Amino acid sequence: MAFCRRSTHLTMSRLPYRIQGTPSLVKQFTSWTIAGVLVVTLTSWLSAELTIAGALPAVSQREGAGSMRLTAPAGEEPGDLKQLAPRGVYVVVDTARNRLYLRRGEKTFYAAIVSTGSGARLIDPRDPSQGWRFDTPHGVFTITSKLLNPVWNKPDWAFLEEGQPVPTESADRIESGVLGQYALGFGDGYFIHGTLYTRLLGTNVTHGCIRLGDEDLRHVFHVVPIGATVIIF
Amino acid sequence: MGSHAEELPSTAKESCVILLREEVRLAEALRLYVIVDEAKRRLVLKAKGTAVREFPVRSLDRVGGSRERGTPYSLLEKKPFIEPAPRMLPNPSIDSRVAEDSTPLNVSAMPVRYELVFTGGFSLLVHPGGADSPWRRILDRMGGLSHRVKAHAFTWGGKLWGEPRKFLLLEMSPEESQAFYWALNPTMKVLIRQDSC
Repeated sequence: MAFCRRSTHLTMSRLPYRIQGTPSLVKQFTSWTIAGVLVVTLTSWLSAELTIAGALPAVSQREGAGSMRLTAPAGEEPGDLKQLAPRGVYVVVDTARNRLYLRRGEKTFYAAIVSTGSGARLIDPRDPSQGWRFDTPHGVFTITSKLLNPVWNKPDWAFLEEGQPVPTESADRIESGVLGQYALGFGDGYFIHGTLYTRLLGTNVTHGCIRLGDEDLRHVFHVVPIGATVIIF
Repeated sequence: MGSHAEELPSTAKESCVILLREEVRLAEALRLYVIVDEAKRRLVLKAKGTAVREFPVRSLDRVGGSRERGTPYSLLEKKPFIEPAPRMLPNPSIDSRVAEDSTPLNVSAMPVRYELVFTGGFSLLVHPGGADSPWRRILDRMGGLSHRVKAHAFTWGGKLWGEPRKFLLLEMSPEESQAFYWALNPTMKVLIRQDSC
């Protein structure tokens, strides 16, 4: 494999002086060189622009795009590395594809469509210099709690987002029936839970939590123990 | 940096041992990290020593010499060719849209051409490739050419200024390029695997 390729030299500074009094063939060559440089600059800008414009909005389209392999090549890791691998069942969440995978070792044995963080920002109308960004955190986490019939203790942004005043009584923040039958906490107020907005599964719409459909949530709740590793990317 | 590289063992086997030892350190840190596998032309996103996602690379070129074996580079900055527009939730006092229905920020809004700047003067330059349309392929190649010109210019400039720069030019499918950009975190560490271990 050749890595060190010759560079492309683009020297333009002296061209106008060389054009004067030179044969027409040289003039033409010089002109085409300058035009080529301009085309390169313009088209490379257009290249990125067009690709962004031709985005893939639907999850079903994204599903088939690219090739994803979840298993590492066998025998690649030394003993120490294998010892660090998650033990038992663990959860992998792909926030780009909005998919949740249950894995044991290098095998994926369950896949579900989820909704993850929208990445949107909400400015606090009480103090415009403050606000929230609704991302699902990336990294390695642990299931810290499993809740049956969870209730939502609504934070400030949930009220501000709806144009409602933030209640002073903590009891006024409690809302039941919106998180589904089960919830699995993975720290810092983030949960894997159910949703009323099942039509939005497969899209990035949440405030950071991971939403699952009822059937998938039931399965995940019963299979994933407290202490299980959650890898989110 | 260059002298340090010369002191390290040169055989492929020894370099693999060094790299794997460094990877164990990263895996112990309970963070996501990336292995740039030059030999197999892929980027592997890993956590706890386990591969969670592979990003195939269509072509890969070094500019500015080889990188130190087993040295993890930390991501300093993501420099997209075009910055993804931030998505703001509607303000209920002036906008009657329901927040749930606002357009989310998703992977398709991510750039396909960008530079990832790491510690140690190392950068990954990513551009798209492999489009079906011949015109599209020409545009992508020109985009790749501009990255190549930039890499060489900065490598030469770095030598003059005494700040060595090293580049890896990656061509990826647009979808994989966007997904890789999406998956990267600030301060994420990257290890370069040059040999087939």
